[in-house]
Amino acid sequence: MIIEKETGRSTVLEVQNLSKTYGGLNAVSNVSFTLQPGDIFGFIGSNGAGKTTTIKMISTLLEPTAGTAVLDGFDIMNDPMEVRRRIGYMPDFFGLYDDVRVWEYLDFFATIYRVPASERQGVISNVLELTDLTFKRDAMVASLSRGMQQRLCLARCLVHDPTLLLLDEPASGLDPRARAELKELLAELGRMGKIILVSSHILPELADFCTKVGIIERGELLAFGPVNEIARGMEATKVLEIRLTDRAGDASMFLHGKPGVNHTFLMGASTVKIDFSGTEHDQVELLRTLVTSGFPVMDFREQGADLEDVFLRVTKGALN
Amino acid sequence: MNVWYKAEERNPMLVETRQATLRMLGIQNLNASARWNVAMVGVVFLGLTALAMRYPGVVMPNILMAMLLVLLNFILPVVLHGVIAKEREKRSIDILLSCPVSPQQIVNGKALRAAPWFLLISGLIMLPLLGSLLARAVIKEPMPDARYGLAGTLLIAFVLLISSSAFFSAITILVSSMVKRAHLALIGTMGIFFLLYFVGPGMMAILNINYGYEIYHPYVAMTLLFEGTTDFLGPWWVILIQTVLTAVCLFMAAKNVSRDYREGDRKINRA
Repeated sequence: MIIEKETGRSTVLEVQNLSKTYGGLNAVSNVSFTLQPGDIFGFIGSNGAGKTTTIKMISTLLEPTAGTAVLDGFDIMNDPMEVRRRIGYMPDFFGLYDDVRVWEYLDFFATIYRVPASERQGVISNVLELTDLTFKRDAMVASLSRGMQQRLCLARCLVHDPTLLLLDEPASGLDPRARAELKELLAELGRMGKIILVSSHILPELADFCTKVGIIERGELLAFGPVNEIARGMEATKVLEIRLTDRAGDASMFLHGKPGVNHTFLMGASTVKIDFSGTEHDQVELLRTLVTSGFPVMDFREQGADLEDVFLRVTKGALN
Repeated sequence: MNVWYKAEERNPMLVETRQATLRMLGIQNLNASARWNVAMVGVVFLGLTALAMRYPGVVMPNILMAMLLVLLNFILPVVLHGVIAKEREKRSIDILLSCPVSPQQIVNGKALRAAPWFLLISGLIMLPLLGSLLARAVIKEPMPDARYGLAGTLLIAFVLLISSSAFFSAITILVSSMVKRAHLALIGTMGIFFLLYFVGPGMMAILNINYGYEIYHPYVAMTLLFEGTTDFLGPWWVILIQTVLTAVCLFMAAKNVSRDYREGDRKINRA
């Protein structure tokens, strides 16, 4: 197991220069990233960018042309069976057996993942409860709505308590309510310490709950990390928004020339926006100075980076 | 059941056979219609058995075993034709391949889905046969002639049935592993049997080649076995050849499934 020096946390998934070539076409080129327990990783890219190929390689469904991935110390090339025992893979289609009942479907996969016979019924009850499908236990799979089928797929991925969940476009085709429920469920799984890799090209779907994102285009990972960090890495400045109960004009004048402040913009009677290029220490000092100078600061925050903006700026819109 | 669960630990794909058997017997989720079906089948076969015991000469073991062979030759492909092709059709093969089971375990597990059908069909047909034989023994009616005695001939016939069923299943699974659509698998399998068992011997007869097919043809082997005209190795040749071909077909089917894994969905998309 790899231990990261900075955080001291165990690194569970390490993707190292993963590449896949079909003939002369580079579907994925040297993709590398590291994920830790509790990380919800949004894998973003246009259709055909290489998301599914990367996920299939991590799930051992495709042999990489070069590079590898290591999960819990097990290499996808050398120990594919051990890796499979630790992953829950949900493709971008349901792939359900529709002529069986919900519990039979889960019993099938619990057996495949070698959940002991004595524990299977308990495990099935737990995953059904987690995915809110207990009341459909005896229903035929074919009779479930699309949202429920999606939740059943997720329940199937959870029967063996995997370390890593690989979810390829999990929310596509779902109605807004089903999407909201899915997001909530994924956030809960993240809190349970699972590593979740979610791919999507629908950005608002990921923006709310992903702790890290990776932007892929033409098979190359262009950016990786928390959205704010990526945004910060792209531009030298950031925007700070300060809300005051009054005296916003005075505050705007006061902030001129302070360390890191490039421009100030008065936004109505109570808000000032600052184009800021200072360090985090400068940012702390700026707030302290404002407060000690008697300005009635109600809110002081860095304007959040918009995932859609970040995506559009990082990518060029090219496909393979 | 514990023995079965132990077997499932070795090859988890046996879960398919367990679920299919329980569903077929109506034990799992027994509902009114399943109970009715089980009761009806029971009544029909008890009636047939009673009839066979009352008129024992009507039930001819050779005809019954040949009928059983034909029945299995048609039913097993119908049961198994979709086991891999349907997985591809529904794209659930990706999910299965991302699980900790090898392609060979997948193929072997799916082949064993034929077992409950074999047991059910042969069991039900054996019931009137055993009834008839019992009645003949009781009323001391002469038994049909057979080279190895009736019991020995029936035993060999049953081994021949098992090896033929395994071969029918293996061919079906091999074809199923080669195509993407379940109905193509069924048509392809039936086509192969038609060529193998009807067109092949027919062509040989036209060309005046009157030997060769009896070493692979289960129908011929079964008929000759009861006629007592076969040599000592007759049925055993067929059993041996079918067993070897079964192993080869299952191995090749597993290779086809692994190729899905190696080449990913590009190959499937091209199909």
